[in-house]
Amino acid sequence: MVVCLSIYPKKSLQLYLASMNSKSLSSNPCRKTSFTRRFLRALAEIRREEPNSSSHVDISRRCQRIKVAAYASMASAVGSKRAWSRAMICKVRNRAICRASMRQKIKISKWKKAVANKHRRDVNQEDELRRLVPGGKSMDFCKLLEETAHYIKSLTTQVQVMRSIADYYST
Amino acid sequence: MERISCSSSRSGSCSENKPGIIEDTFEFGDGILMTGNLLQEATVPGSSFTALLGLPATQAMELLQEPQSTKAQPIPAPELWRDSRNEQETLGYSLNCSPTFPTNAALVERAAKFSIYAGAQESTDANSLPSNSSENSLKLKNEPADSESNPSSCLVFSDPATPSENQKSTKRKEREKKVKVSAKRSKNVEHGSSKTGEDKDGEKLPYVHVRARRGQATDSHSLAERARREKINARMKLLQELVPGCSKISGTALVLDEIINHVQCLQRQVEFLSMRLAAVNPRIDFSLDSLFAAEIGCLTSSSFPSAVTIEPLMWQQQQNQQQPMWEVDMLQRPAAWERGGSNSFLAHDNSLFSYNSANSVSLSSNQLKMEL
Repeated sequence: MVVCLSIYPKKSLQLYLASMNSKSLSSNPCRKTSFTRRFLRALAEIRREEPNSSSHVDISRRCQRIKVAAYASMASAVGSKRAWSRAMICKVRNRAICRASMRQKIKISKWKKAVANKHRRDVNQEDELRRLVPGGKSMDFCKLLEETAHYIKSLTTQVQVMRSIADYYST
Repeated sequence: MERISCSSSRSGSCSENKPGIIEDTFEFGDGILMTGNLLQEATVPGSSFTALLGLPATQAMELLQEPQSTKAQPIPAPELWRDSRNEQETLGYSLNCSPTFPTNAALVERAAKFSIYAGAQESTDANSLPSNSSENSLKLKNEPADSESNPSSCLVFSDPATPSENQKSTKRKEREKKVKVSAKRSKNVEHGSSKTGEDKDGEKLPYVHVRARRGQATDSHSLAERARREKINARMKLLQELVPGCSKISGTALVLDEIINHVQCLQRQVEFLSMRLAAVNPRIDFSLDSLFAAEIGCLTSSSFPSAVTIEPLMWQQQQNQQQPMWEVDMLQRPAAWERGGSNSFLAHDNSLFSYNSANSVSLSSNQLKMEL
């Protein structure tokens, strides 16, 4: 009964958002709602564009797109206040701009790095953290810790929202 | 120099003559002053800042005035020492200097300072160790100090100094160290570096056992290191609270391991959930309203329809059950769409609204009122 609405009129949305905020979703309701909104929009877009086939290739490609959309919407919901969100947005944009050539280069460089890391027994924790947090390479350790804390917070909200969406759709 | 300027505005000719030496003298003088202060206010380390700043001000005033009246630069040192010593004696603590060396009092301060500033990273457990180390550093420093200081002025100074400096107590050195630690913090405050923002007034500095290191030139490095370390520790505490199960773990390495593990886990969860969403039945369309309702948790038992043909049945079911919010939404939509005229909706929704009109209009108005 509920029909697809990728583009949604804002009035009713605002009503719902108001009701949502009043129910105190989380410590940062604005971020959560804006993330949800963006993510759903992206999801609907992906649904519309891709053919609805169940082949493995299509599913994996869609999965990748959904993952990128989730990270991008989270980063844009956070805004430019955080270094990791800025780095994430740049990464997504770069990825969108030059897809083919960059992907090949990235694959090669990553493979080389993996080979190099294998020889090094003890990968430093700090380097590991830098690798995990977006934009972590060009930060001092103190700032890296701060960004990690914020990143963990946003990741938990992201996982919460995605899980509730997935649960909702699988019932 | 900055301390002087901070504490009192009358850093006059004395400061202009030889900034380096005077700064040094003020440094260890302040250390002594702070000893007295800290001992006074041992229970409130946080408020010692103002005390520290207050006392040097008065002392600095005296010191600045006195050297002007006397002759050369080494004189301020004994003057300072005497004043501070008197100050300390009034407080009831005796100086701890070996009587054999003329400039011992100054050297003790210097050496203790050096020892703490230089070796602030390590902390040993034994009480005797720092005293021994400071004594060693004392003896090490004595020779250069002897060479540099003016013997005559020192002798003049030493006579009043020696009788009261007979005792050697580790307590004083400990106190000095505490003083130095707080002196460092006050230095941070006065130097006005950005690191001072990180210093928390209520934070108690641990008792620092340090090993003397010869050749550590300036204090600013260790100051900077200490401030940086405090920053990092504060951030680590935050992270420990965020990551579940991390507060019990002690030790930076393990905590970092846990944090990395947690981040990797969350990223894997995101990937897994995106896979789930990709594999979801593609005929289900995403509706923002219903999903928002789900977010709030209003929907309890309503099942999500997967095809348009089921819709009439669903409508009836939902009417029987509690009316979820998205129904209201559905009814709101036609009005909005008719106004907005978005094409994508109307094509889909015409069949729907034919059902709506008969049954749920009356209910919807009630729901709308409830919602709003």
